[in-house]
Amino acid sequence: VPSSATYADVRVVRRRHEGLHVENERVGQVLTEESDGVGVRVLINGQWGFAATSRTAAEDLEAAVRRAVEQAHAADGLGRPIRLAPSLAVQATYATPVKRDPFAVPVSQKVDLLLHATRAMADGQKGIKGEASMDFYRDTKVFANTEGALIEQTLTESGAGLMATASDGADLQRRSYPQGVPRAIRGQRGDFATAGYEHIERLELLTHAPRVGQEALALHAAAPCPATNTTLIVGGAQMAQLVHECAGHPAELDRALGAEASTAGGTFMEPGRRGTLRWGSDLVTIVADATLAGGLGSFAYDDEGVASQRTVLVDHGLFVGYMSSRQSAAELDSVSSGAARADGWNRVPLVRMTNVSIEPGETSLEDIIASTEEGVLMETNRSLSIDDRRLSFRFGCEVGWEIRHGRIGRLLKDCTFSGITPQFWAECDAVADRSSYRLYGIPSCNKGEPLQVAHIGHGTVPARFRNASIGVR
Amino acid sequence: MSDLSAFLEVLGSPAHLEIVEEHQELLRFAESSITYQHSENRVVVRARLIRDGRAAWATATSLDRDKLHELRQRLESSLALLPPGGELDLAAPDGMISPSITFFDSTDRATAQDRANLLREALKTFPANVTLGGSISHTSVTHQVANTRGLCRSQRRTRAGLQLIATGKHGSSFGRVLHRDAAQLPIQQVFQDVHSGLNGRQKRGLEPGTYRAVLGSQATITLLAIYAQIALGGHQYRDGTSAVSGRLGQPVTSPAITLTDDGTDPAGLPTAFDCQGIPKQRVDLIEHGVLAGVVENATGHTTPPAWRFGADPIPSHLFLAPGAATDAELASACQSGLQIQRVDYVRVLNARQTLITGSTRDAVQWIEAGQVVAHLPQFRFTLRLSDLLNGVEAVGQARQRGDTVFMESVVAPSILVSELPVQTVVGSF
Repeated sequence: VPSSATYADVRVVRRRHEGLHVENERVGQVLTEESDGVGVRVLINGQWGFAATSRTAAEDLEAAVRRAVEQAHAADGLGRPIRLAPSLAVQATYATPVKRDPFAVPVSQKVDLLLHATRAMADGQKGIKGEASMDFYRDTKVFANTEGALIEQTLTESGAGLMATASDGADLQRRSYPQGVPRAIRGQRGDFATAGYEHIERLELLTHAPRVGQEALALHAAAPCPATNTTLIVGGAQMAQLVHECAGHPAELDRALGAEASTAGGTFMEPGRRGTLRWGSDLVTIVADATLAGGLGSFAYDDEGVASQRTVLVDHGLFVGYMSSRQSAAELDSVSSGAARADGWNRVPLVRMTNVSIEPGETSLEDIIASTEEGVLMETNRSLSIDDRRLSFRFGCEVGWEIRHGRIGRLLKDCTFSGITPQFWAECDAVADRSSYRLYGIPSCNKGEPLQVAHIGHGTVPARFRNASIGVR
Repeated sequence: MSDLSAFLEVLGSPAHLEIVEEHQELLRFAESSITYQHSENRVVVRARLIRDGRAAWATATSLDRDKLHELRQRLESSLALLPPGGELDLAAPDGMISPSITFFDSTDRATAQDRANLLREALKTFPANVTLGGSISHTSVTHQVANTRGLCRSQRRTRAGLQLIATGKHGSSFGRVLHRDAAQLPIQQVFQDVHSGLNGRQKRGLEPGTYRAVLGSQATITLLAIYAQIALGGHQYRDGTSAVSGRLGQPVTSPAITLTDDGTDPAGLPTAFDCQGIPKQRVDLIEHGVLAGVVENATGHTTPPAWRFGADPIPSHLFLAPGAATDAELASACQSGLQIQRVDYVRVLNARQTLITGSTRDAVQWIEAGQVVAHLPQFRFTLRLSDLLNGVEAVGQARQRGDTVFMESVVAPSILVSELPVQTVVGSF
């Protein structure tokens, strides 16, 4: 790195991924991936350059540095000088606590569990297709910068899930456990955590498989979701996606500063509105916390060497904070919240969610249902869309249950709800207590250009919303 | 070029091998300033071994022979633990490869300075009170596929792109171009598209309801790509999950729609073969509204393992046949209604019903008496694509090239539709 660079950092990353997918009692995809490389970032005359290479011979690394330096020089005069918020130069090592190394568990044992799970989902019933998958990731990464930081981290992630699809020719319904993802994604389904194989064991796939299959089949006979305004209870798994889209993405500071105009878009949570914008009702508090044990967005240091931390985004309904990187924090004369994350060696760190969670309330879910005269409980995300300022949204859910006179009633299919973020959240009049709390992990959050896929955690509880618009008119 | 036969020897037989060597350069900007740049050199080796009806995939990022030996060991140890599988095979070394030119020096040799200069040119084109965001990219790929049945394919491809979003007093406007040859990138077309959405017309409100609409090329590209993804794959067609299952030879859209998939046509971003090495074939999908075919693995539409967008074959190079109308004639035929530049975050609510939801992004304008007269706020729509495509009244003559994250290229003109539902209108907030 030339002496003209005021800052530089390097990340050496080895990523290992094992993916197993079983469909209808047949082994589908068995995949092991390894990706090794180096990414170098330089700051010269206030402009960034970044280059990455999977070829790690000395001449290839030198060429990468040259390309990064050329970029920074070419950018001269084409941007405001970039500043970095201060950070401690840490030397440390960290590894995800793992009780049982998932890569040491024999493939045969994993496949056997998945085969049994698909068998249990179908349970001899016609028209049911059962899919089950497991994925394991291990990132071993070393970060160093010209300020003296040297950090080695090994992050291990484990996840698994089930999906039953029931078709009668004219109608196709699905049910997932514990979490839903778009139909198209094969594997990477279900719930993930920074943990070892013990996380898979805790999911108890075989216990849940028969129910998942039965519910998928039952949805065929279910009534369609009505198109109306009513009281909506959002279940915990669905809440993970709702918090992700309505609170997580809009509280990314790079978006708020306009840096994501090319693809992701902007946000209604603009810097000038911090401390004054009423984001939701005063029952709602949302935090980003990379220190949560087992969270999919948990680590010791982000990809700029900043320590993991807890940041309040929404405090009793008031928008108060952002997730940030060193660059974006400097724009607000603040310090980084430790949320700069890169998808491997070949991507620049961007502001990404860590574990973005809704704080539990004080009412049990049972009491919330019992105090609901009429409404719908919806659960498990099936589809979602939200506009580029994160205001207008529509979510599709796998399943719904009618609520009448405080009791769960008949099953509903093709459930959707829509709204405008602050208006929708202003109608939140009950948040379930800690007895319903669960930390979900979603390994499929897209952002950036070239595309980066982040692995993110969401601690959730169910919550109730009045005057919600449900169904398709 | 890598020595594929030597690598296959390391893997043993039967085996499939794919090597992608990629050099990607990108400049990204927002608020008229560079936000970051990206340069990446990488190699991806993807191997598939078949043993006794069992199959497994592995990837690595090195061409080192020791790494390949390690990769084979990984695969062999996985295979030994798998239960017996079914009939598995490798692609046959058949078929003709398209002679399309896919590699251009202008793209391969583009420098950081070239990208910076293009941004400077864009900044000069727009007034100072307009801010620019977007990206400029140049990518070169060497793609090789071989297997132990004797198949051996190789192709070098380049890809250049410019995406521009300008934000002015009344909102934002969008333009995008792609080409394999950076020297032929129609940059002025992007500037014109962006200018057209920025002009100084006044804002007016929009009430929920159903409107006639002219969908610009980029909006049409996104919606067609999603329709093709959920409806025009052979696997979906046969298992009944496609909205057009069982309707081969029957009308499925307005007669104004003729849709093909053609990876050999240089009007798109041609690609010679898929990840299995199977040559891309032209497939007539919809002819004058009648379902004519679907894509298959055999037509060169196999998707890679662990692909984020499904395992079934889907179209990769869509073309909507042009009509006779100029853009002005489409607006004139619309009389009063919406003009939509692009749509964003379009997601499928129910694939079998082609029910989607999404929002507009950047310029949305109001057409009155055949003329664009005002800017409109953004809105959300939820609709059945089959209904929308049944309501296509006219197709424009000027096509643009675009893409999606799951489709290499889509070429389409603007279209006039009879009914576009407007649901939630997002005003100022």
